[in-house]
Amino acid sequence: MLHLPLTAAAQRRIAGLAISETGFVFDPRSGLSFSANATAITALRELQRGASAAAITNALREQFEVGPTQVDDHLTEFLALLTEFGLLPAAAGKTPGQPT
Amino acid sequence: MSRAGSLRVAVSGLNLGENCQPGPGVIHGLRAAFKRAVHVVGLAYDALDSGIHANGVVEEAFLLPYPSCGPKAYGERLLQIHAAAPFELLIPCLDVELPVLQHLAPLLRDHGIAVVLPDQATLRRRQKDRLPELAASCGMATPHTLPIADLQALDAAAAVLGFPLVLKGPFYEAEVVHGAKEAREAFGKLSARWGLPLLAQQFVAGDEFDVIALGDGKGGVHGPVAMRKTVVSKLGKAWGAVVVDDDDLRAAAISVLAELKWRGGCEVEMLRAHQDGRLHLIEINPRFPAWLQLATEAGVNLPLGLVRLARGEPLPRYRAPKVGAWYVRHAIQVFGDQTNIADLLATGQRLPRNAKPLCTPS
Repeated sequence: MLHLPLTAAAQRRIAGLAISETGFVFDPRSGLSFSANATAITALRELQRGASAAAITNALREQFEVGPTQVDDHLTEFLALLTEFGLLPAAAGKTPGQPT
Repeated sequence: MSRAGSLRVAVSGLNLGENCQPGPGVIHGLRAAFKRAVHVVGLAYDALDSGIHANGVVEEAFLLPYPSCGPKAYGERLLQIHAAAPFELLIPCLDVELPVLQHLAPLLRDHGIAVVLPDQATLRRRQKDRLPELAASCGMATPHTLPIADLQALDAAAAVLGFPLVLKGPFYEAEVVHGAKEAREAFGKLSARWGLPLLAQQFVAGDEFDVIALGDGKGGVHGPVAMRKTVVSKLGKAWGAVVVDDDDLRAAAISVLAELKWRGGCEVEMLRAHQDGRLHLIEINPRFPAWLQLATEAGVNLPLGLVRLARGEPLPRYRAPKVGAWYVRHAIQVFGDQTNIADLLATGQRLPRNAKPLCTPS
């Protein structure tokens, strides 16, 4: 499982994503593009500014009608999806207790 | 030598067919840099090479014999063309032209024609069969590759590499084959088209990236532009691509071209393995590729740099390319009448477009 915050390298990769309001996401490193819904865009923007898991969860709860458990599960799935798409390396998150 | 603001140039590789050639992309860059002050002499091998008939590509067009005719006949024809339509620079856009032009470079220079080429030893070092050695000297990986001169060697290579494997022609074309029968069929096809030996290469699953750049012959590498293929033709060619921003790709390409002290335009093909993300050196094309125009559109005009290199002028200060710039090819028809073909086949030269048309029987 991926832990937040991200490592510096993973943070740079996510920060480099070009995200449009329409949900189009372009990865300049791979040249791949993706479609993202509103919740994914919110989570990506929070990741880009280096937010913690709790901060992302709060942002999603503030903007969308969703329960806390559901948000946690979806965020975990979303991070796994970013890894699957090659946007985050498998070991992109710092392990708990690791200095930031 | 022409004045700095104008250019008379001969360019080959003008056919934009199923396997697009780089000539029109080179000319696009020159026209972007020199505007109306460029005069392009098109060099074609076939009367139906599309670039000599399309509007706005060449001012004049001439037929050349294939380089396989040997340096003497090839050189004589080039000088004949030069006498009819002088040019200060020749930009070859096909791999097979390079060895003969290396041979002819001193003669051409004596006639005021510059050709920007790497030396023979450098050209040999980038050949497909010597790629493992080059990759090793740059600390890069490359798929295991074996020369294949006959069917027995093919079977032996398959036993070592396993299937699927990639079968490659010595100059162009490659096929991924999945079994012995398919491999033998591909061997027959590729060897008939390109000669022997072919190369059998380990298949590495991954994403292909290409980098183009201009080498100054002293180890300097200028204006690198990296792309990912987004639309791939049946021949494996980039029918569409997007400019990417990847430090590792750029660094790897620069390392290879600096090691070679490459002089001129070049394309480095690499593959990022799915398994471990490692970059593998796949091929080095010794000239600009057909997707060159993407680099120009992304703000990096490499043909302009090539002209300056030929003239001994300082190279442009290239900025980073516009990442995300993309292209997709759009095939169109080019029309003509028999006059165009008749001129070319009868005289080896395309006459101006306002020439009197052929009489047709009523």
